[in-house]
Amino acid sequence: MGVEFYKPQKLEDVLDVLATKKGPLKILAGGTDLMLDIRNKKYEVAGIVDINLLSELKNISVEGEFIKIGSLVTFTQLANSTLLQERVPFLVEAANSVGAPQIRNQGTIGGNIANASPAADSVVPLIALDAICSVLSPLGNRDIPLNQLLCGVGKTRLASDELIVEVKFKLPRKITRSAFVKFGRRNALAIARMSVAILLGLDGNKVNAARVALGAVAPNPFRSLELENMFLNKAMEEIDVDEVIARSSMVVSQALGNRPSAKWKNEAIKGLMRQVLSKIGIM
Amino acid sequence: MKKRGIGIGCTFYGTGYGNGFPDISTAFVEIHDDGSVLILTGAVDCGQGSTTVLTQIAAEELGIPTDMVTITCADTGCTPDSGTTAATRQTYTTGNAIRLACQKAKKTLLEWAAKELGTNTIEGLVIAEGKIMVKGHPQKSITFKEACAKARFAGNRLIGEASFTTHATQVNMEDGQGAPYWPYAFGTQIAEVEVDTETGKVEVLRIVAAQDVGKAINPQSVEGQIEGGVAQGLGWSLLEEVKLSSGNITNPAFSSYLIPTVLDMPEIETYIIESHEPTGPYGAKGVGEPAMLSAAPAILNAIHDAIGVRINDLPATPEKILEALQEKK
Repeated sequence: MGVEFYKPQKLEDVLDVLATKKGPLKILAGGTDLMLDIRNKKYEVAGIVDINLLSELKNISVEGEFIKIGSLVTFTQLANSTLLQERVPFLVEAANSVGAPQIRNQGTIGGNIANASPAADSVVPLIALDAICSVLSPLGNRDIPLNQLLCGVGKTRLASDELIVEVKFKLPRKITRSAFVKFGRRNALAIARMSVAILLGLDGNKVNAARVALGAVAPNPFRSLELENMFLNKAMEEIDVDEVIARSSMVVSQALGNRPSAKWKNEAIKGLMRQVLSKIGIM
Repeated sequence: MKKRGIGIGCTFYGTGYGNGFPDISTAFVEIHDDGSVLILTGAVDCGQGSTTVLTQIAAEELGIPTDMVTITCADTGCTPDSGTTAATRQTYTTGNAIRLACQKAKKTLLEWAAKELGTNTIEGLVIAEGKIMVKGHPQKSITFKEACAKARFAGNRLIGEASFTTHATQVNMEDGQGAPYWPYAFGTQIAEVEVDTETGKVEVLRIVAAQDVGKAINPQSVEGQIEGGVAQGLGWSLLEEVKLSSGNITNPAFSSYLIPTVLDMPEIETYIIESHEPTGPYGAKGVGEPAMLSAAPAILNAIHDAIGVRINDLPATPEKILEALQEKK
């Protein structure tokens, strides 16, 4: 039982392979999850489609009010981008928290999304940013919000002939603060046991936009409107830190129900929330 | 809230197989015409540096520089058995075997040299600075190289073979008395930790490690062994756990069985304590395993100092820390 290996030169050739070759096919971007999954026989594969020749998917750019990130952009590229460092530092922090330098050099933002891990580091700030994925198939192009694309642990709404080509989000206004914190069992090469991404838009000292996303407490990272509302239309010093921390524990508790990890996570989120608030300069 | 604490752990450890089990190492040595030396021994160097240390012991015993010594370790095609690299025993047991084997080869060489230089015993000779000299009368000498060539040409064979057995007796099963190990190694470590009382995460900020090694034959490698021991001890205390389900290991990979990374390691201050061990090669005893022992009690005591709870079940995971804190309330 052999596995076919395809390495198309152009985007249209990738789509052709996805549409015509015998499946199930898997797309190889960085391969940091895929190769292990295949080795561990997590799924049947008839063919692997290596898309690394598509250099057009390796760019970070600004178009109008959007930042556009090609799906083959690596975590190292994200971390080193001065544009992202200035405008969305929490995405840079998340990219820097992935695995180790070797994994960050190899792993891609598109792969992080398509793998759909509950703990995917870059996905947490992307969810906070309401990111949209541009998806290509032989039928054409469609945009799908990231929070709709993800639909469970390891599951996406991508059809078998579809490819994520780009992730985009609205450029946050200049006066924005953001922060990301991750709890891993150790300080490097650790899968997030829980993570928090927060982004606050400021008008003077007043919060006029708030995003709070949580990772590894539900099948996919999600935004908590309940927590976001606790920041909105308040001056920074008016934010009730203790109340936010207490409420975050309730949000996590609701998300996890009676899962075995809930006992620790319901409590530990308080420490994580405190860290992220202190990082963003609220306390 | 983050709370800090300091703890001390003191341990002693019996090195060698112990309890009367045969604990033997063997070495062969041959000195060549050009004064170079070949050592054969079965000791496996797993990276801890035994090959270097054993080379130093041979060079020291023969009074020659280490670059004159070639050592072949753990080649089943030609080396004699030196037991396993386990039980913190290679420096001590194989080191002693090499020292004894070198003494035999050296004796043959010096007996020839005693005649050549006109001394009535080999006790009157010393090997130093590439020469064999008469003690107290260093003008009378022959180069080591020339002596080796001439002694061999005269029909001598400069070889030595020796085995060394580590002393241990079986414990009396009735009363637990006996001398099951020799020698013992002693260590103390002090840990400073910071515990996050909300997440249960323990960060080790600093470790001070003092280890009694008898004599540090290679101080830099001893320091490395102590630091490695601290890393293992830290992993043992906070991370490492073999999880079983119906007899199967459920975390059989380094992605699920976590060991500390460089970013988890604190600053380590090492102190080498030299308390001459009369039965060891140049007073040395092993350092491998004992160096990891004191970290766990030190870290657990530091956790207790920081947050007032005792963790008696390793590893001290964030879950266990939070649970213990809640029980305390």
